[in-house]
Amino acid sequence: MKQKKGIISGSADYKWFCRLPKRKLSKYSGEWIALKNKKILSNGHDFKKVIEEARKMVKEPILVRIPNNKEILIL
Amino acid sequence: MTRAVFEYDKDNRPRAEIIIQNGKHKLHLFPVIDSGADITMIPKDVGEDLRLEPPRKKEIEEIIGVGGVVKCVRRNIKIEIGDYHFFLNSGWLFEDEGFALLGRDVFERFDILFKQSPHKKIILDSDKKAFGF
Repeated sequence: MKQKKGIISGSADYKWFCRLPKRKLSKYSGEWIALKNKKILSNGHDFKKVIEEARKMVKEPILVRIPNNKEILIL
Repeated sequence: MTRAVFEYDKDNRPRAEIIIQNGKHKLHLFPVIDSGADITMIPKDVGEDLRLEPPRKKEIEEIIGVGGVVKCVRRNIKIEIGDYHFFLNSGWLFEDEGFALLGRDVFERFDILFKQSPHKKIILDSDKKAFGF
């Protein structure tokens, strides 16, 4: 995460993720994705497999669950 | 004073960037910020990866959501937002997959301003007079 004089903004990976186009996100509908260095390292419905695969590539992958694009979230 | 500026993803979900930690186990996540959730929630597999202590029967609570009733246990978890750290007695959905959600227990620590349109920003401010309210 970037930090300057008490102001935190997201990391480069965070900004990259937030700007991923909707059609790209919908490819991973309902799945976990592991990412790092602006790349998706692994994806799937099984969190354990996704993180194991990603940890073979990087030490601390970032995990995000993508909502199913056919559902409206009321959390 | 700590101010965090986060964004919406392209599905219009307000996302934070946090590191959650239980002892030496930690995970880097982009959870959804959910003003409707009473507490911060952690899905089953995330809690297992953090090696949270397995639930004991007497600890189990029921959480009521729009989708029905789910079971959870409270676990004290460290949350890092930049260099701002705090502990939260979060709900671990030990049986269910779901979403990592930052709930209103986080809102007690910050003033939070959602600007979905047109700026697509969420501002979390630990100086509770920052927005002049």
